[in-house]
Amino acid sequence: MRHLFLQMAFIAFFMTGPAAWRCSPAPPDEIDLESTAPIDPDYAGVTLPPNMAPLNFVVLDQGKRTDVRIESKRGRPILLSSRTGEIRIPIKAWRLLLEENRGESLSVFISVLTMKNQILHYRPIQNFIAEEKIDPFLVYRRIKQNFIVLGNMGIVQRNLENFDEATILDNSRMRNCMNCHSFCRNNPDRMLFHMRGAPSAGMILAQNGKLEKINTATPFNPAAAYAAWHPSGKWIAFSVNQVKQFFHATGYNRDVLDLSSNLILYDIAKHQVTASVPIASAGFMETAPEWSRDGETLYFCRAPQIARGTPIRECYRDIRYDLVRSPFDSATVSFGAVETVLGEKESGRSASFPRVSPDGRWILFCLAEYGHFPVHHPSSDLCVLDLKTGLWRPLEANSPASESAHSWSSNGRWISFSSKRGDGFYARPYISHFDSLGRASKPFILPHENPRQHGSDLYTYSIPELITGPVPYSGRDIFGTASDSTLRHSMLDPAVQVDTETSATEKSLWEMIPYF
Amino acid sequence: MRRAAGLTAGVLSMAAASHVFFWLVVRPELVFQCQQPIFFLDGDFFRSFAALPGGLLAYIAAFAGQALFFPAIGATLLLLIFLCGSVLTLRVLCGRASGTALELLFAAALAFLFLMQCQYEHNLLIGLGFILQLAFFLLYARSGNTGRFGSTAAFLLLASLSYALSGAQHFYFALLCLLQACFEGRIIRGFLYAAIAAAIAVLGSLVYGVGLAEAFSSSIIRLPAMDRSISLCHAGYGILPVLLVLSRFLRFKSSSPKGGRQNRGLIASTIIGLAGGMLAVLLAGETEIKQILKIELASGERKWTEVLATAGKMKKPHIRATWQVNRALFHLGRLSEDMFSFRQTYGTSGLVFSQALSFQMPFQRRDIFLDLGHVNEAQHWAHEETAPIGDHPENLKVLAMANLAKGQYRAANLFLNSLRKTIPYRRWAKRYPVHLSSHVSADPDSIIGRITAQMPTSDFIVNLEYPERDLERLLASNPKNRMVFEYLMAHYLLTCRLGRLVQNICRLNDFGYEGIPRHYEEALLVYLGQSGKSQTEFCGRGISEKTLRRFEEFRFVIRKHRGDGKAAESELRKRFAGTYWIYSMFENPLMAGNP
Repeated sequence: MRHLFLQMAFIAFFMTGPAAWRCSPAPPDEIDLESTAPIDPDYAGVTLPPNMAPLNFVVLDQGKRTDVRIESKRGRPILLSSRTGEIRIPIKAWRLLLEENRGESLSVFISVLTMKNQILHYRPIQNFIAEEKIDPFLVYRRIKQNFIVLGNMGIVQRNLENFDEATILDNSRMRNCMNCHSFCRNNPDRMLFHMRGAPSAGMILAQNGKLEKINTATPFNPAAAYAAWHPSGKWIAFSVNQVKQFFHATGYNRDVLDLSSNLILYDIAKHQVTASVPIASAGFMETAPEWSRDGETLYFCRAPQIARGTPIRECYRDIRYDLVRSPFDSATVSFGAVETVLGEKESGRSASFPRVSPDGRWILFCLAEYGHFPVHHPSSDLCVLDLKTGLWRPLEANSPASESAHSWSSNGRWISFSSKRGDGFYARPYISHFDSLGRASKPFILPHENPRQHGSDLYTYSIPELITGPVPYSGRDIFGTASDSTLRHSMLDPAVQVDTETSATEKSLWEMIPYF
Repeated sequence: MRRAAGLTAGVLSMAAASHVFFWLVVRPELVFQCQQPIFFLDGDFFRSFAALPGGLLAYIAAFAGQALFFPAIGATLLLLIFLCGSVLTLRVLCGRASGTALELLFAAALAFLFLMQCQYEHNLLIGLGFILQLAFFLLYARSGNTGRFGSTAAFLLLASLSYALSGAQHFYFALLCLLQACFEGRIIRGFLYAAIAAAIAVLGSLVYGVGLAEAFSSSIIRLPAMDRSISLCHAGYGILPVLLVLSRFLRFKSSSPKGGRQNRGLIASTIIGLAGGMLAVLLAGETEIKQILKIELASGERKWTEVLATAGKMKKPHIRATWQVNRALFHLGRLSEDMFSFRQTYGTSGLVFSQALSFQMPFQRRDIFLDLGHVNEAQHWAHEETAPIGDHPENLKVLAMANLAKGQYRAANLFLNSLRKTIPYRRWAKRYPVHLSSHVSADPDSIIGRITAQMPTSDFIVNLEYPERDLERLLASNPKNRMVFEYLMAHYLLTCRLGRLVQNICRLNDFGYEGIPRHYEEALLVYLGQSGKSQTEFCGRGISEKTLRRFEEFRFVIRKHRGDGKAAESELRKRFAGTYWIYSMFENPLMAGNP
């Protein structure tokens, strides 16, 4: 009986099925639109490295079905279809398409079958595939937006050629703050970062397969902060900063300033700190060091030292940094007279974080309304200075939100930076092509496998640094070194005169600059 | 047949009674309020659990915890956990005792299990873990006659599985197995089990890439906001091993009952256990934590009258309650009239938290600043709060509201998108369009419009240590902000800075007050008395006859006791309760011990 029923149902299906097809509604109207499809993230009109992971996206005009065709001059186009508007591009086909079409444009055709049974054909999105590859790894600090209370954070390396992400070190076990990760010339083998706060405070220095934890504080200076590796790998220039955080009642709420700062030079082999007047003077706050590519010049930023007794609220908007440089003699390990490269009077703004391009021609830096913490200033823009001509200009890749924490790829054709353009609050890593004329292409946000991740990601990604390969140290080894209580202490160069009136060691300065 | 039906009816009625008890007495929404479990319908959220030992159970607990937001469903969940725990406990005890001993032990275990479900700090992760360990233990017990190697192999397998599913809670399973082995006289095997459990945790640290401390404590002590009271609460599960040990010493002469008689005995012990548990909860009455949770829940729902009603029942003031009471009083338009009807023992900390307190309770600071229109600081403390409790939806909601009020729609979208992935708050988030772009579409909620109207119009640097200065600046920046005005005046009252109060009294004209609010009148009379002035009008407003007369009576009582405040205290408190005069003489924390 049961079998009979099944047989009848089977026959009925085959008899009525074709009839049902015959009765299907008329084919949908097809409409060609002049505009490109609204997609999120905005991956339209961008230049891509040929080794980039797929730029997955969501088509915001949702319908019953979204069809996507990605094609270039050579190779098989990629055809995708989605009911949710979410487009996840198969990595193998994507990489093949990009690799085969270096220097060509990449077209993305999008059609949406609407709820009204219309097919909307959008104008294709045109992207461009660059000839030059990008360094395959990006290292950033992923951090919750806590300001005072220590939250979750970790230094993470992301493979740009796919979506793999690996934690170098996080603070889930040590509850330390960690910051200022830095690499010597995009070399993953030469890395440093700082651990802040007891009990694991210290600088983790990794090089030549060896990990060390170093106390960079000496009688002259507190623990080091921003780093710049000398091209020879013998020294690291650091800033030492007395930082104060404060909050605004309107607009962007967080702000930070230096109450004082100096630069120091750390000799890696000798574990010795040295400083001299040009980089650690009484009258200036020096910070954000960066070496020229030949290692003969140290670029940095400096502003006049805040006068004692001046309340922060009265002075913070007037603190503007000049971009300066000082010649370095590696034979005598000494600095020469400081020369202004771009003064605040000329730019009308405050310079920070100069980064010299691998070919030595360009300096990429930030200009903001005031201060030295561009990540907290919506006014912060990336600017480029041509060392050949001395001319500077804002980069095309800027937005009304904060741009900061920029880094060069090893071939100098790509830059990564943090931008808050997405929501005005969380910094995300963006990538932009930088051509030989010093022009930056429209930047694109670091793609995720889940294209909706950007829309609800409650982490800030700070200091996205490009490196040429994965960090060769295991998380276990780094954790072992970081959590080890033994520290190698730095020595102070006996030639340095500790001047309690001016040096960064003066603890009382903190109290002497009132908050209000 | 009739007996079976009677038994089923008995069990069902007890389950129904427990359900009603959980629903109406315990109130699962208060458990939710206490624990703030976080869960997102999101693959990334799942993956964040998958990489940890015990991650699966923690994920299930996080998901199940969302049911507590909905009282009836939450009560059902608590009931299910209680029932499962009870049945498994009975099965475990059945293996060790029978007859009266079993009934006694089961009644005791049941009472404890019931009490555990009634604790607001009781975490589902531990409750579910308990059930899992008992189930595994019963499986292990079944392998008892498979020989020495068979039992050890069964233990190894189950302990490993338990570790993968529930992290270091597998030690509970190991403890039960150890006891079982000891009871069987196989002490060495018992300790071998303990060693195996420890070895599994060590291996777990390698497999999961976590530190040893984490491997030995995952799913046990890494609960949000774990503190001593929570640890004690969960220590209640220790009752079962204790009862198992006790079962060795409980010997009753009666022979093991069979069939119906045993059932009747167990039904009786169930009733006794349940009744004992319920009675203990009822006798304990409304605990302080329950009252605070009720107040905080009501204030979250903006049920201000309920806040005051619950606060009125508290035996002694608590800072979390006082703070909500003042908030409720403002929203009911009674802050300047009735503030001192509630004890203000905490002074200004009961109004706006100091920075030190804010680190302990950031969400209070967040909420009050949002109310005051100090949106940037509300955002600031909402972000600070993510450090101890993570991305709790209430926090995300405040961040969404703050950004909506500021017109930062793209940032608001970020938090709304996250809220759409939660269970309890998705409906709230879905009232806003998916792609917010303008204020027109952004304000189905009148609260946001009110916050926007209260926001400061000019920038200043926030003073984290002295909120009073922020109140002054907020009022200077937006003189139409009534809440800031009332809080500032309340601050002056609480700090007895009456000169400042007098300086600002003319602002009453800006807000359309009729006359002078009672507490201000009382303070003005104190001020006049201290300064020797005889002014009775302030910006065209006079002090009411009633207050003048009451003040005269107050002074009379003091004069009667020859100016001795201490001697007069009892009479003054009785006759002038709820006045500013009582606060300034006896309750001001600045004058503590020196009335």
